[in-house]
Amino acid sequence: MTDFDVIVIGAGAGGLSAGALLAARRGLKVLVLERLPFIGGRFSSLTHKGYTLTTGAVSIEGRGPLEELFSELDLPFNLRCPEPQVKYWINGRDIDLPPKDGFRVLLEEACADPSEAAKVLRAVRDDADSPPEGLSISDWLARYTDDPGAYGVFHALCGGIFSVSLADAPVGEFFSLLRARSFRRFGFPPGGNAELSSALGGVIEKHGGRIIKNAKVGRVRVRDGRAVGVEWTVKGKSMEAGCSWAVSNIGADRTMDLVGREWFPQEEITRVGQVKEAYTLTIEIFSDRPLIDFPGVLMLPQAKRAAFIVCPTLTCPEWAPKGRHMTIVLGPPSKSEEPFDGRREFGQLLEDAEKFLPGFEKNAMEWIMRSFRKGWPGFRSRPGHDLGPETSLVNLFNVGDSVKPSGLYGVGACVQSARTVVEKITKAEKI
Amino acid sequence: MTTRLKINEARCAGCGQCTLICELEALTAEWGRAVVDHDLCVLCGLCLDFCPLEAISMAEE
Repeated sequence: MTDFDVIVIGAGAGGLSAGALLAARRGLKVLVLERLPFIGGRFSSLTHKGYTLTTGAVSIEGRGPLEELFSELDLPFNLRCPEPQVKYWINGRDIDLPPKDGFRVLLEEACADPSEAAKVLRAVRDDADSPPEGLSISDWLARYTDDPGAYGVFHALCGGIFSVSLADAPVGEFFSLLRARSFRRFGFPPGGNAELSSALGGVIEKHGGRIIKNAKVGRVRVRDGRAVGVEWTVKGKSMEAGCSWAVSNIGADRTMDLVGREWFPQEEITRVGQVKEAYTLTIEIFSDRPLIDFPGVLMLPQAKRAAFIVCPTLTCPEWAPKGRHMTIVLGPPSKSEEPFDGRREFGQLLEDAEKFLPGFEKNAMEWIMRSFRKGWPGFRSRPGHDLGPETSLVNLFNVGDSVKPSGLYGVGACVQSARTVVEKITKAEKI
Repeated sequence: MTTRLKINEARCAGCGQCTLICELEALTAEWGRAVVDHDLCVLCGLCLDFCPLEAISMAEE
């Protein structure tokens, strides 16, 4: 049996970031076990008929935790950012917000009555520093306005950023996001998300670490309250290795299953059980011409289900065969929970696609409906339900978006969770 | 008895990963779940590895 300093379970954004930092910056011997035949998890991409499709993350944050990590690891951060980044489609016009007072302009454009926009703006100003606790955005908005335009603005922002409907988004987290100023800049990697996740995997291997794909982890072995090893199978062959530290990137809940719930106090089991996923629905449309002419994200405050439309091939033509384009319509379902009524939810998203991309079905060569949910979600935790990375086992940590810090989203949040864990291991090892 | 590809609907999320890697277009994602066209499937098993939720299996029918 080979021993490692650290065994990372799951090669998603959090696991790869933790593995890369621990191997390259701390000199630890790292093993990464990945169940799928590729690394990156929902931070990867697959090629389908010459189109590059994401396995989860639709756009990647620039100037955030991921770019910082790449810089620290001396990796080129190849991200192409559309300009301008965002526009809002309201009453048949696409509106480019001014750098100052953008939110005011947006509300005034969207609300039927300008005095309603003023009411909401005042409420945002009054409540931003100490938002009412436990209130969803829809409940909070209802205190101030019933203007559908205002709801539409918040729906597009919440759906596009958190991937949740207004009923599922706590208002406090919305203000915390505004304060954190995260995800202010985004783009698309020309080689797909796989290019970036592979670069992180490359760092691990360059520094003596190992990555095993198709490795199905069956158990984390525990002795005296410590994780001491991991057992897995590759194509039916059983293997195991010992470790000083275990880092799990498969979600806090499934981590408990691998360890055995008997090792965790009821309070921790309950807390982890309360974390709910945020679902995302997408329609990816392949066509021989771009279906919109704007390269950034076109937010849709007047849509039913969709939060935005984006045509990444205007920025990265590499993502499609020559002369072809891919347009993505994305939105959260009405509720991120089972049972999921696919016909109803996708039906509404298709209605939006038809409304904002008239005749898309005729112009498209093919389109694919995908739902990210049930263990492969948009986000493993909804805003406002954040767990820390620690577990009751002193040398077992979780990374990834089930334990992300508040105010951060997507891949950047996963990277940040990994940083926290790396700091904890570094401190304990006195490296 | 025939061996056929089987989708476990309780597990399938409809993420479409299986449909992307199936070059024979035997799998499609429809309304939030994967659907197999048994006439096109040659039981190569590639989709079993790529399904993140272990929702696909080979079953004797």
